[in-house]
Amino acid sequence: MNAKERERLFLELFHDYRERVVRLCRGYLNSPEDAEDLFQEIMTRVWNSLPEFRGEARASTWLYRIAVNSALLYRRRSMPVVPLQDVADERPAAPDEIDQRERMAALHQAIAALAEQDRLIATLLLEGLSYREIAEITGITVNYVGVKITRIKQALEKSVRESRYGNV
Amino acid sequence: METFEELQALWRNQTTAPRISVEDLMRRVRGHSRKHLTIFAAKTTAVAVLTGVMLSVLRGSPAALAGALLVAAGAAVTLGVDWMAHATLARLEFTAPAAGFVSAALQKLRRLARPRPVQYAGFLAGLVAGLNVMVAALLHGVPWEWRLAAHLFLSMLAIVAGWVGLRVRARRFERETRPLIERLEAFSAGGAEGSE
Repeated sequence: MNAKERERLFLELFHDYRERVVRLCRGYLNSPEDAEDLFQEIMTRVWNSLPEFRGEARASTWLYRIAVNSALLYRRRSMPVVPLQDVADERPAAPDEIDQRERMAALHQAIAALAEQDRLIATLLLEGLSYREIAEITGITVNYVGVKITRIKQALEKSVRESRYGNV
Repeated sequence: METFEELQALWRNQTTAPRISVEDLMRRVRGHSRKHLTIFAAKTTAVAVLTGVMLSVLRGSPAALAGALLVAAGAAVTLGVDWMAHATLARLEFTAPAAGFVSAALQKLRRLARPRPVQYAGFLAGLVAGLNVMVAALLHGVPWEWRLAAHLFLSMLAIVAGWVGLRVRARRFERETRPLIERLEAFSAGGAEGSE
């Protein structure tokens, strides 16, 4: 892979996946500063790994593997926090946006309450990845991913429901 | 009531553009590997300059010169060990599935947490032997009691400095890496029965 092709592929991945990768970072770390820092670390690793990219795995699987492994190895610089204004859009809130922000904060809190591995699986699941893709990224079997996903879905729904409406 | 599909739609509608511009990111990714190389080059240059100074000051005494070279060789071994420790994590296969990646990372981190004394023996041996050879050469003609005292003092100083250095390194490693090891262990435990 020559330098030009490397740069072209990198920019393509950056534009196609930047929002998904940032969401994964925020879902996993719960701190916007750390998430931004992790995002840059991931993209640096993507750049460094590009010369070895042979296209054997799908680009999305390849990139998500780097993202997940970098997240696991990331050394947090700040304590995890879930302030409402940090996890949602920072524009001035219109009345109908407040509900959206509250729901988003509840979802982030629900993800933060999950176990280490489940947090990453939850973010991949919320992105709409298939069981097989999640298995390829995490290295656990498809069947076991299925078991985990059932539990994670229930846990997220329950936790969001409770934080929004109390114990009903 | 929130269904999972509703949560999924909510999640994907987040506005989450990264704050860094693509131009700044490109500058960062290109400069990343240079940063570590620069630090390593600075350390190597410092050792080379010190060695050069010692060689020029001691060139009249071949024995003292040999001592200085031994100290320099010890420092070179330490630089090598430090470089390898840094490279250990950088060389991990980040494009591998997470379960395998985590077990490889844990293995390497645990090995780094308990460095074998032999890794530092080269440095310490070079330092102690080199200083003693230099003292023997430079204090030639001084009463033997003073020479003995100088040998003992410098040997003890080198050993204590080496020991303190190892303790500081171990504490720093524990503080920085323990949370990481615990997180990786938690990840590993979460999927132990389902790993491929």
